[in-house]
Amino acid sequence: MKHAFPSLGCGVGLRSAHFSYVLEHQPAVDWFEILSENFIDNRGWARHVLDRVAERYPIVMHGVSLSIGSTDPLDFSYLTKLRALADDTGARWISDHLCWTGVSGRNTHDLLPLPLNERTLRHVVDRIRAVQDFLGRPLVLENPSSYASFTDDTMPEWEFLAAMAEEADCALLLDVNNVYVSSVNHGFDPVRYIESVPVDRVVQFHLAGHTDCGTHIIDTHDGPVIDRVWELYRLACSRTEGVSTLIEWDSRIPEFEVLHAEALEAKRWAAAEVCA
Amino acid sequence: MNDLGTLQRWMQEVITHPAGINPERAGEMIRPSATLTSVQRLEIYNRSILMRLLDSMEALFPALLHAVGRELFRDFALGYLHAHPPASFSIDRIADAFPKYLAATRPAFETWPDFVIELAELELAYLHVHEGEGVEGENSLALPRTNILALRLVPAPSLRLFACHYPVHRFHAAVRRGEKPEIPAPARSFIAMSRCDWRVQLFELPLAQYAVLKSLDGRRTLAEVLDVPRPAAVLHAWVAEWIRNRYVVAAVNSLAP
Repeated sequence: MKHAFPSLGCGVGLRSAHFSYVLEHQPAVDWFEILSENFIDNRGWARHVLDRVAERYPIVMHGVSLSIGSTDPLDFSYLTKLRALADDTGARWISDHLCWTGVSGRNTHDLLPLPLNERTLRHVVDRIRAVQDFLGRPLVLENPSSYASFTDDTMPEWEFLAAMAEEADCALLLDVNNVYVSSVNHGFDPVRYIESVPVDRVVQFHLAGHTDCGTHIIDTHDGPVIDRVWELYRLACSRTEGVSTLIEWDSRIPEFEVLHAEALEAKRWAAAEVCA
Repeated sequence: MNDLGTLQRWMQEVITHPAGINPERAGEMIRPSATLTSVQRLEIYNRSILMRLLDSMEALFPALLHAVGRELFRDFALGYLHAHPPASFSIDRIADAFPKYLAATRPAFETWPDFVIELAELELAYLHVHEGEGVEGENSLALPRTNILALRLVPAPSLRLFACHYPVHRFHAAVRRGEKPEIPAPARSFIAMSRCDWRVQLFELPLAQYAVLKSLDGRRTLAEVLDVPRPAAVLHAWVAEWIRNRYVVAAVNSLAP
């Protein structure tokens, strides 16, 4: 599994606010992650920038509309476009979230939680296999941050992820910030989560900032990574080797140098240069 | 245990309802947390979905937002999103039917809605042209010196033409420059939108040029689409301008062997 996912180092998300800077300065970033839906069907400036960036940097595609957990049929028109974009950009891999985004033909444009039980597991595994067959490559799925859990839940998320990855033979994107956010919202131990995730399936980490609302935490991607998440990241790095890391910053986006500095900070934590 | 499809349909209905969360069955489906009830947990999704869609609508229609103000804009957007729930994988496509919705729900016997509808049409087209096919780089298209009436002009894929009751293009341009323009008085306006080097451009047209450009289809000659005879010198000037502004991407001489 892991041979298909080379270590890319520490990257950042390619956002339109930084297009001009990236083209002009060609910063020493290891790699860029794109939001797939921002570039599918796009023949404008964004796509031009992506083509130029892809000539110089490794690209990874990260999506929000696969809706792998939905009970609607898979959208093969979307998958066809996803595959074409991956071919065009030489994307190293394609990721999305363990969630559903809508049903009955609708898209809420939110990453909605799934009940974590055997029935959902069967459903999701079947769909991952179908998507992987169609894309001709393994899929990478991310643990989402969530704000609700179900009375139908019968297993913790880390157990669901492990079974899903094994049975569907897919890879995992471990969003360390999401682990922390969900641990507060659902009251579980984030260390236990990190220690229970099957490390041989983890091919990428996400790090981001969030908003603490007092009674719960929202995954807002609008600020720097907090120390508690850095510590969980160091723990995750200690269990893995050569896993690519990405900083997500999607709201109140700072100057590129600030974002880049956060990626360099991730390198320090990954190399255990920051003392416990 | 609930069937997954039943659960998803229930949850989607509950968290996308514009009036907020219906508490019925919430406790049966959703676990409370140490700090939040089942309903409060669902409200997080209800708020975030609504805010994300409204924020996206505002980002797609900055000039319309300025024209009508946030409160009225959100009234329009909420009504639209309820009537046309998003279905596309792309959030940039949520507003594709917004101008038609505004037209279908316009108050009768008043003229100001024309401004709102025309501005919405212009802003939606701006997005589509920005993201669609354009004409980039040097335009190597040369204008033949003779037989201009025999030319078959092929419109650019990005060309959009508008016949408006208000000068919405000037209002739109002012908002994009960061100004805060007043809603203009009605004035018949003919507008061309095109793209050059990834930039969307707006031009005001005389009615005569608008009429001819509207008829271009790449199959008929200029002679066949002209509404009234025009001097060759005028046509030369027009076509030169159309090439310069990237309204046309090809000029085929129908008389050429």
